[in-house]
Formats: sequence, C-alpha cells, structure tokens
Amino acid sequence: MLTKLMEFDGNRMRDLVSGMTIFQGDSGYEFNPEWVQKRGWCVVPVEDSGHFADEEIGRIVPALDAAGFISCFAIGALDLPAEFANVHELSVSEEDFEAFNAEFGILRVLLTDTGLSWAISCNEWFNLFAGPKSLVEQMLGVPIDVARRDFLAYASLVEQGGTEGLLRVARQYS
Amino acid sequence: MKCPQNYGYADGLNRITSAGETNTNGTNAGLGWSQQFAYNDAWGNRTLQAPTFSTGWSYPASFDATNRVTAGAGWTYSADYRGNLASTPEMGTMTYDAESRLQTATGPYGTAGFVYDGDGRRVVATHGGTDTVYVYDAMGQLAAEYGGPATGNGTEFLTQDHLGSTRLVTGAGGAVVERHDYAPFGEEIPAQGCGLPVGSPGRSPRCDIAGYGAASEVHLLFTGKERDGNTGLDYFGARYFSGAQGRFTSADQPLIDQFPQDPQSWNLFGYVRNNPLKFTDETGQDCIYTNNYNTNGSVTVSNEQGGCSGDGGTYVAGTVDPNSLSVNGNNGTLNYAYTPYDPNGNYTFSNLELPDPGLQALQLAGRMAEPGVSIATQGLRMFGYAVAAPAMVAAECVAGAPSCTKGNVAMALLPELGALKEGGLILKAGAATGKAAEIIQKAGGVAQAVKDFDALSGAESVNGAVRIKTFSDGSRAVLYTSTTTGKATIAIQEAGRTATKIRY
Repeated sequence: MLTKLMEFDGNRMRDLVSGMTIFQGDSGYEFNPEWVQKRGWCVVPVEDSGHFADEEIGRIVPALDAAGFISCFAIGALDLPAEFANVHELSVSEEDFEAFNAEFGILRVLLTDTGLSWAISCNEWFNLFAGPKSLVEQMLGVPIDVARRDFLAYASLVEQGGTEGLLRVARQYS
Repeated sequence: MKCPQNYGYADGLNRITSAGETNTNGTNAGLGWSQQFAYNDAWGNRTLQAPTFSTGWSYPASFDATNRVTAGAGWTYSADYRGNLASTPEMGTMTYDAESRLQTATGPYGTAGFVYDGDGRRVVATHGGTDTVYVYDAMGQLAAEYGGPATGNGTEFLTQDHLGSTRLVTGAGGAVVERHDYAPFGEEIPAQGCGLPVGSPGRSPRCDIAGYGAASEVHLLFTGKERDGNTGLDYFGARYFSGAQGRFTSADQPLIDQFPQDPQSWNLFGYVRNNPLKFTDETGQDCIYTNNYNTNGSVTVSNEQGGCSGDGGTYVAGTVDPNSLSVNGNNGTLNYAYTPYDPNGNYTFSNLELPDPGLQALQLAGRMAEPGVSIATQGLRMFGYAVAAPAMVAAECVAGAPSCTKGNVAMALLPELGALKEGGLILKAGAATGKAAEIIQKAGGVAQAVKDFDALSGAESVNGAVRIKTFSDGSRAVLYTSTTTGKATIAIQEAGRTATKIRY
C-alpha cells in the first residue's frame, strides 16, 4: 500500500535527492552527471509503459528484494499540480509497484531509497534506471548494452517524424 | 430485363417507407412487386404492409413497450421474457441459451441446433442431424467450414454489391452459376413462374436470365451474412436477423449505442435505423492500415475488425466499409467510407491525409492483432460479439478487480477518452496484457492537443504547462505541452493502468 508522507517528511526526501537529480521542466527528474560519475552508476533509459509493465515489476521487485531493500519512496515531480506532487512510501513488493503504477503511471516521478542506493526516474516517455551496474542489469533483465539498443530502437520509432527528443536521450545515456 | 426499382423515404427520419420494382418489358407486367413499410412508433418498430410478392413469411404487427413483438399480421408470435422471438409460423419454436443466443429451432423445415464458443461465435450448426463446424482465425474471421451438405461446383467466386450482399456467383471458368436480388431488408426477390412457358404472364423475367432461381449453394447472401437453411435467418454474429420481419430475433446489448435524441437507438431489435440500403450492420471494423505505402509504388489498404491493435493503423470512429478503401497515389490521400457511431446515423465519407514520409516507413511495421485484443471493442461497438462481457469487465475494473491490471481494463475506456484516438496513427500498439502503452500520432501540434484536452469533461488540476483531468471511473488524462520529444502529449491512464500516449 502506498503511504503518503506528511509534507515535512516529503520535503526532506526532496532535499535528499536534490544533489542526485536535475529537474528538467520537460521531462521530470534526470540525473546529475557529476553525481552519477562520482558513484560509478550506470543510467539506462527504458521505454515507459505507464510506468512499469508486469514483466518489469517481475524483475525489479526480486532484484531489489535480493539486494536487501524493503521499501522505497515515490517523489512526484514539482511541476505537477499540487495534489499530485506528493511523496509516497511503498514497500518493495509487486502489489505496491502495481499500486505505484495506478497512482503515478502517467505522472513524472522519481523512485529511490533513503540511502540513494539506486533510483528510477519515470516520465511519460521513458524511465531512467540508475544505480550500480549489477543491480541495474538485474532490474532490466538484460545486459545494459542490450537495453540501450532496445531504447534506441524505440526512440527511432517514436522520433521518425524528425524530432530529436528521445534520440537525444538515447545518445546521452549510451 | 428492365425492372426499375424505386425506393421511398417519406417519414422524415430517413427510414425506408416503400420499395418496388416495375417490370417494363411488356410481357410480364403482372410480376412487378412493391413493399410499403410503416413504423408504429418512434422506436422504429417496422410493419410491412401490402407486400406484393410472397416470401411465405409472416411479419410483426404490434409491439409492447419494450419493443417485443406481441402479434403478427394474422399470425401467432411469442417472445420469451428477454424478448427473444420464441415462435413464429415459419420458424417454429426457438430456444435460446442464457446469453440469448439461438440454441434450437424446431419447425416446418426440421430441427436445427447451434453451439457457440466462449467468444459468442457460432462454431457448430446442426441441420437434420448433420453438423457443420465453423473455424475462425485469430482475427475472428470465419476461416473454414467443415461438414454440412456437399457442394458440387468446386471453387466459386462471389460478386457483391455496395452492401456486401452476394449478387453474382461465378464458377471457375467464369460462367454464371447463381444470381441474387434482394428486397430492402434482405428477402430474396424470387424468380416466380419459371416453370411456365417463356412469355407467359406469370413468368418472371428473371427466369430468362441465367442464374436466377438456381438452387443456391452459396449461403453468404444479404450483406454477406450467412443465411441459415432451416430458419431463413441471417447470422450476424451472436444474433440472428429476420429480413422478412426487418428486425433481429433477440435484443442488442443495451446502453452501448443509445442516444436520448435518437429514439430508434433504444429499440434493441431494430436494424440500421430502418435505412437498410444505406447502412449495414457490420462487425465493428474500425481501423485501417496502409501497410506498404510508398515502398514499391503500390499500396495495400486493409482494415481490422474491431480495433486498432497493430502498429501503423489509423482509428476510425465507426464501421469501415472494406470495399471503400482506396488511395489516390497522386495526392497521397487515403479514401474510405464508414458508418460513424453517430446518434443521427449519418453516413459520411472521410478523407485522411497520409502521414509524412518519415511516418510512412513506420507503417511497414504494421502487425496483426493479438487474439482477444479486439474482442472488447467489438462488444462495445457492435451487436455481434461479446454480448455481455464488456459491461461485466468494466464493472470489475471499477471495483479494482485483479483483471484490471492485466490489460483488459481497456474495455472500460471512457468513450470520450477513446474518441481522442480518432484519426490518430498508431505508432506502437498496446499489448493485450501487461506491458506496452499504446502510442498514437496525431496532427495539429500543441494547439490541437490543448483543444482535445479542453474537450474532456474530467475534473481538472493545473500547474503551469501540466494539466491533469480525473474522470468518474478513475481514469486520468495528463496534458504535457512540453516534453522530451518536443511534442505535446496527452497521456491517458485508464481505470487500472493501461496507458495510451497521444503525441501531437
């Protein structure tokens, strides 16, 4: 079950992630390159399916569970209307990730834990999986190179009209 | 043969009121025919007056408040408590299963029985103890028929008219085997008196033309639907239609296609608002594809039954006439005709510009639907299939049942959200279960996105460039006028979690 944090606690979580992320007005949370580089993280863009498909949940939850995570936080983007720009806590379970989809499926939101050990930034077009390579690959279910190729194919499909948007994301995180 | 036919629409509601044929060849002047139709009420319950050729069929004469037949013109009718026609003189006694599908018919022509699969499709018809088995492909189209009476003419070719009715049957060598003409509601116009000498007053001019009056081996007749040999009814999916009576023998699924301003829409037994020469009651073909445009100089245009579940399709808010699809290679315009889901029943022709060259290539990726994906749309938009399922599933989803998370929540999509897809090109199809948001490309940029979003009725929350509307069933739509893709986007989350993204 998602638990909405009090405003004070929510703001503490926002403060916590402020160094890790750069808020982009047109996409929600992206990751601060310096922060990512310093920790040796991988960041991999993935097609959004509002936000996680059943099979993705079936990989993410066991991967986080195996890594010892019990709960995490969903931080709604600041450009959402106030009643949606909340912070929720959810357990690492399929049930709560499905509830997360139901609540935030088409909203811009950041998922992370209090130790900032991993993060997933979701927006309406793609999700950024960030963290140590082994954990990210476990969550993705495929090697990072394969995931990046898949995203490039998706970006090419969507952007065939000539715009750059998702192709820029694919290049940035290649 | 000169037999001009005339049709009248004298009631101001575009309902057919008369039909007739005049034999002008001078030798058989007595064999013209006419039909006068009357409508007893605002609901469009039709009676037939003064038919001058006899098909041997009775017709309804009075109706109750729920549009059930209460009496025929000199005949005995009865209907069960659900309104299913239970007995008539020519069809005998009919029984129905719990979903109002015709199960048995016992009458002057013998006994017939019918078996249906879980999707409501007839899979076995038994006539005189002989089973005919029907096999459907993944798209729900009839693919093969086994058993039943043997036919002796080998491969035959059907030529259809604008309604899809079979008018001409030719053999492998091109010789005419059968010809068929129909009265407005599908009764076959008989070739009477063919046993009389040529020129006899009682001999129909059709007798002098090869193919009329021949024993028919083809059962796909009026609007291409199969005519049942025992009952004479046309099989339209989960319901049967009686051309002589101008109505279906059982009720349509209610609260799907009903409009307060259109009383006829509330008559669940009515046929195409009683305008049968203009409309057909197809099986919900509402998506078109141009799968190889501009790749080899030719274009293959096809349509999909019941929905857009493959990449490269374009939504059409109605029933596409598959015979109307064409492309003008000079100006890149796709032409098609469809019957819109319009409360006034207007039949319109639409032109749709093909997408820009970059997107044309995408259409090569057109995929076929996954089995089951389109069933919901069929059920929601037509009478033929999944009679009860959509409403049930919608209810389950509202209640938050587990099925809502498995993709079939698409069945519960609010009409106004579904209408947003109209005219959109499918860049990426959604999946039947779990993953995959549907991605649709529409023209018009930010202005059109804002206009479309403004038209939605949900309760709105706004913060700058992000607007969110929440609907009564829990569905949600978000307008992002600024996105990573550089295109305005409306993201829709149905009352579960299946997502649709419309990019402008």
